[in-house]
Amino acid sequence: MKLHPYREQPARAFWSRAVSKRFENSEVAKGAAPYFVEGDRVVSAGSCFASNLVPWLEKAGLEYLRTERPHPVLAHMPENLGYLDFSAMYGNIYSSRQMLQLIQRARGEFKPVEDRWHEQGRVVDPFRPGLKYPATSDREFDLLSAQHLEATKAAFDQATVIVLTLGLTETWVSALDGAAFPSCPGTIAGTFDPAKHVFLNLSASEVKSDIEELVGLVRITNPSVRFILTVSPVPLVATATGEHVLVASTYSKSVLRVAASEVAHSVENVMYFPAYEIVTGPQSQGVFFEDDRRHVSPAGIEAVMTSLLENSQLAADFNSATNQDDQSAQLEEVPISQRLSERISTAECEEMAAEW
Amino acid sequence: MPLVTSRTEWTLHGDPNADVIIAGDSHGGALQMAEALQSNDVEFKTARVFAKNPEAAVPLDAEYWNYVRNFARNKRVVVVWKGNQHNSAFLIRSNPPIKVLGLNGLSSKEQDGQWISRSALKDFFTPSFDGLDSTLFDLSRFSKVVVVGTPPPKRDDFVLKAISNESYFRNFTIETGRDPSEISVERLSNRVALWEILQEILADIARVAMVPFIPSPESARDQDGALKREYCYNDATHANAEYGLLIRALISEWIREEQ
Repeated sequence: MKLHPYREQPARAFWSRAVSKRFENSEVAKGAAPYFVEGDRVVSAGSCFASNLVPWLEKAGLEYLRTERPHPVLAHMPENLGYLDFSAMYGNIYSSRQMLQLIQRARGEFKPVEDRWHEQGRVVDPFRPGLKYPATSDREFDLLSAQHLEATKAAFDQATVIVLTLGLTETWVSALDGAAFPSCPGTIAGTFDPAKHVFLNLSASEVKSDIEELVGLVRITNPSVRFILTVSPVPLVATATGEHVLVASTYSKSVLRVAASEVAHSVENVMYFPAYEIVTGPQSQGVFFEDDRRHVSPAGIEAVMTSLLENSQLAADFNSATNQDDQSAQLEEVPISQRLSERISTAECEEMAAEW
Repeated sequence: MPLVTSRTEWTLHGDPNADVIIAGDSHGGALQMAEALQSNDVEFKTARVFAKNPEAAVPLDAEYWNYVRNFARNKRVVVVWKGNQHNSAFLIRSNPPIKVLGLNGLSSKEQDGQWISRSALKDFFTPSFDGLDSTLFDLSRFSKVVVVGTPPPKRDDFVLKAISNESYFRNFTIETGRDPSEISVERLSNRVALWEILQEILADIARVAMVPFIPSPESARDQDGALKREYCYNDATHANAEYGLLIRALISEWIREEQ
């Protein structure tokens, strides 16, 4: 029998043995090291798909770091667009450029020229344009933004693992300084100005460079932090390239996929987790997408998360069931200070009435 | 004729022939008490629609306002809408502490705490104004209506002194396993900022309903925006009859301008 490199490869190296038959999600994700270990403090950022992991991590006994959340007295109030789904209230981050600039801003190393939009009595954050409760004055905007960036830095400084989910390569940036917006100005807020807002479709080398720089920046103050890179399987909602959205989406995902692997291979303690492959590979036969062929189904999320956690080193077996009940149980009860305040006010209204 | 409901019994306190009807919540009490400080030769007489037994007062509802409308026809109505929402949620310092920017751009100099946007707080308080707009539209059809601002917060020491000997305060802190001496009143700058937000909402709703708004007078506030001591009723949240006199003077101005 002839010897060649393929002879010694395990079954998982062969499509016929690992995909055509006997496909196992957990095998796809098997890496050199566990993704999470017991006691990890996890931070995540990225596209909306990134927020799916939070309940699973918490149920698995991992700490999902939250350094910025609504004040307990206001915890029952709604928020928009996933701003409460991440470690700090940065919301969905779709491009590597915006992700890098968030860290630069949090570290005080970048201050975008176009850093606020004034509209209808509100001062809107171009990097969080959908916030439900924006500032109403420049002074308040400065205070709220500083608080947000401080909380963001705290999250990235305290994490033992940071999960970055790369969403897309198409982005709109400021012509003045390259500041990357999460959405095209004029869509959620702001006003589109072709002289000021420029379309950019990042290349693989640009994404790689962004992530490498981001990792380097975070490790200045958190040298031992590990990174897990994933690519969101959710296709583009729309493209500005003029191509068919399927073609544009494939380009975006391919670029991100290449960049993620290149960074994982070249930078220590950066791993790639194949969520993209688990959901979009032919073995899934499309069942991991909803009817719109874009959003990932609960089954798809479960397949991804089960695989991720099975390849982690956790304290005990995690329960693979989703746990919405547990989440609602974690909602803060009415704070004691508020209950006491309310009781005093009510009692006084009754007492004063005795004077009339 | 009193209105007996399943919740309480509403009636008119004062002269049935009064020129001005005071309607609304407990802060209207200062206006009512103020009349007693005035001579008989007053510019206008007031009567207040409230629970027959004030200690049995319940939150005001549509039945109450319909009852007010009966008395108010062809008279002037002073609407006092709630006014303790900031105290109800934030009188006692919360954990984490809050920080709210005041209208004048000032805030607490203390470093700790979480900034909360004024727009979030506005949304937080807005449900407590549900029904005010329709009430104003409704009353305005047959009466001349004005909305008055509610009194600003009191200084910390006044509040603490007022509540520290109260049994409900002691019982509550014991129930929740806290030492009463460890309870702090919310920072004055925050309470003033919260109160300002309430006044903004009141003024906005009045403007939309095309009803005049009489803000709480600047002269009643000290250098930090708190209610001056001489205008404090002996509790944590209400103003006294002297404050009521200040408001009566402003109501007089409104009446003169109307005429």
